[in-house]
Amino acid sequence: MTDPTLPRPASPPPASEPQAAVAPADARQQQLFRHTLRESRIHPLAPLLRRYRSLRTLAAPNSDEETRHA
Amino acid sequence: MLDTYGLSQLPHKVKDLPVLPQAVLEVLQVLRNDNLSAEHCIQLIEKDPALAARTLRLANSAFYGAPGRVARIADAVSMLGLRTVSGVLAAAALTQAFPASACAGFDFAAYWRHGLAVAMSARSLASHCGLDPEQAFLAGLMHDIGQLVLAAHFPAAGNAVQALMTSTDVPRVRAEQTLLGQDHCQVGALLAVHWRFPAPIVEAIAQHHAPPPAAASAPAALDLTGLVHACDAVAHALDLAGLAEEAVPEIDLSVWTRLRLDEARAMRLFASVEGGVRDMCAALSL
Repeated sequence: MTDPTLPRPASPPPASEPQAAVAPADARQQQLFRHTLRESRIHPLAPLLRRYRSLRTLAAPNSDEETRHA
Repeated sequence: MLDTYGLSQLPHKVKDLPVLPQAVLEVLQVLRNDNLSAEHCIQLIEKDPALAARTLRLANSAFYGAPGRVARIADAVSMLGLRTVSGVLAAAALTQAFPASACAGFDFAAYWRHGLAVAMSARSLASHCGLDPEQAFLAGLMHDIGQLVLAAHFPAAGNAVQALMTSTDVPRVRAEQTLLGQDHCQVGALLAVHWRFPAPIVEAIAQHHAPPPAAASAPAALDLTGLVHACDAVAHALDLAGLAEEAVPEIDLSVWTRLRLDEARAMRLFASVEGGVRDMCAALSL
C-alpha cells in the first residue's frame, strides 16, 4: 500500500518512451566501436552505421503499419 | 615460445584434414576460371542429395525472389549463377568438414553468420572495386577458417584465446598472437593451401587483419585482401553474429580511402547484407 504521507508526483514522469527506444541502440553502437572509442578516435564506419540505424528506426513504424494493413 | 597448446603439430593436423569432396573441388574450378559447363555442374549437384537440397533451398529463399517456385537443379543453377552455386557448395562442404559437435565451446552458428555477412558484403562491393564478385564471396566466406581449425583441433588453445579475450577485451587476433605465437589468419592460409584455393583467396585469408599497402603501380586500386579486410569490419559493425562481446575491428585508412564507400552506397550495402544474411542462414539452416 502507498504511504499517504509521501509526496505524490505532480505529474507523470517525463515521457521516456522515445528515449528508451533509442538509448539501447546507441549503447550497443558504443559497445561495438569500444576499441576505437577507447583511443578517443572515431571508426570510419561508426557515422554510417548510426545513420543507417536512425533511418531504420524511422522506417520501422511505417513498415509495421503496412504489415498490419496487408 | 613454449608449445603449451601443441601447435607445433599444426601443419600435420592440417595435412590430415579431409580434402574437400570431389564434387565441391570440381565446382570450385569455376572460381579458377577453368572450363566447367553448367551441365557438368548440375550433374555433380544432382549426385549429392544434401547439396541438391541446399541449392534448391537457397534458390527458393526470399533473398532470390522466387520462394517456392524452383524445383529443378538446372533452374536453380540458371537462376543463382554457376559461381554463386559454387560458393554455396563450398559453404555446405565446410559445414560438413567442421561439424558443430567438433567445436565444443565455439559458437559455430555465429561464426557462419559472420562469414556469410563478410561474403555478401564482399560480393556486393567487388564490382565497384573492379574485382570478381564470386571470388570475393568465397574469400569472405573463408576468411576466418583458421578459427574453425583451432576450435576443432586445438580446443585448449581456442578456449584460452576466448578466456583472454573475455578477461582483457583484446581483439581475437591479438589474443592469439599473445598466447599461441600465431593467429587464425596464418592457420587459415595453411588450410586454404591444403584445399588448393586460388592464390588471391589464400592471400586474403592470410592478411585480412593486416592488409598490405597499395601497389605502387595502382595506388587507388583495392585488391581482394583489402576488400575482405573492409568487409570484415562492415560485418562486425552490422552486428549479425549475435555475440554479446562483438567488437568492430580497426580498418586500415588506406583501404578505407580506396574503398570509396559513400553514404548512399553504404546504406544500400547494409540493407542488402542484413536481408541477405537472414535469408541465406535460413536456406543453410544456420
